[in-house]
Amino acid sequence: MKPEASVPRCEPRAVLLAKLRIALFLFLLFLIHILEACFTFPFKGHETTVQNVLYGLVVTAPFNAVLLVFILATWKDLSTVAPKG
Amino acid sequence: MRLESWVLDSVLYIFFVLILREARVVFGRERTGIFLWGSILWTGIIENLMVCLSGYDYFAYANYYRFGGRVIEGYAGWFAFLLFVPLCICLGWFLLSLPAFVISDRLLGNRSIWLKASLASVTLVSFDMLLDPISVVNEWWRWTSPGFYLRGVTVSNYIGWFFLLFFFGAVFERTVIQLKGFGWLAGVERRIFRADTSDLSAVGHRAVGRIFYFRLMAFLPVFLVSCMAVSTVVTLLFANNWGPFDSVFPNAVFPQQINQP
Repeated sequence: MKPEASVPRCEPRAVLLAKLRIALFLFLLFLIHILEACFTFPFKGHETTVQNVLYGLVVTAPFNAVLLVFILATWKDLSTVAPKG
Repeated sequence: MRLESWVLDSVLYIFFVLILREARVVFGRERTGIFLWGSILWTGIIENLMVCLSGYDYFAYANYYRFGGRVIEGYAGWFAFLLFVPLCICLGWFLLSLPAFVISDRLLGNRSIWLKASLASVTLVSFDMLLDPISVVNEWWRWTSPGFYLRGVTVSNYIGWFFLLFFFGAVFERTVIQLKGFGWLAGVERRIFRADTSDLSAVGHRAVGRIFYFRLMAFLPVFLVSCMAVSTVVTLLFANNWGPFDSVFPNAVFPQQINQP
């Protein structure tokens, strides 16, 4: 790809902030699904929605762990990039 | 409480817009466009194929929905369809897989594309393991094939989700980020594109997009074979459910099991 088309045109700080917002939206989506699991019917094989929430927290543990590490790493990157002006 | 399919539909469309907006800042407009159209092509073909092979379906419960065929005539439970698959499913895959790709790219840096694709896939599957049981109890979609079921969802589904992003992520990284090629495709690509595709650094983004879509199609059989191989082994060894529902597209391989009560 030609160089002018291949790189993002935004400042590094804006890119890092956008990455943080992506992580935030993803976490928000996770919270929405946990709420859905809490208020909907018990899953197949479950008797209560509390079991739904516990199951949800267990199976999404890898997702949340990776997301947390990503947020911390991006936050660290952000601290090394001085704000404009 | 029953959650109607329009709830998921609305949530996915809203988050699609939000993620797309940020992705354009992170990747640039051209790369994000290639990722988006690649996602729709990749998931659109595979999901429709799986529905036609009677793996699962999205619309047999349409009349159960509040607006299904009543308030809105002809409404099948989803705002828009891409043949037999709701459009929000393809866009939903994009809005989850792109962040997973961004995350693995940041955490693993210059490591192997296959390792990065694996991390992205595990992240995606982990999230999907919460979404799918919610979908099953609310009858947004259902699995109709024999298999090992966990909380109403066949494990083959998670295997499929893993390989979906595993191959897509690796092809995207190699083609659009690294601007390189795959050795086993070099000969075919030289004939089709009449150029050396092992180095795409001097090629325009439209051509990179075309090469990327071609490579996705080339990896489609690889995806299907990998997916079928692992899923078949899991089904043969651990199957605990032999297709509890009649499929919209009945599978000729397991007719007696599918019609069991």
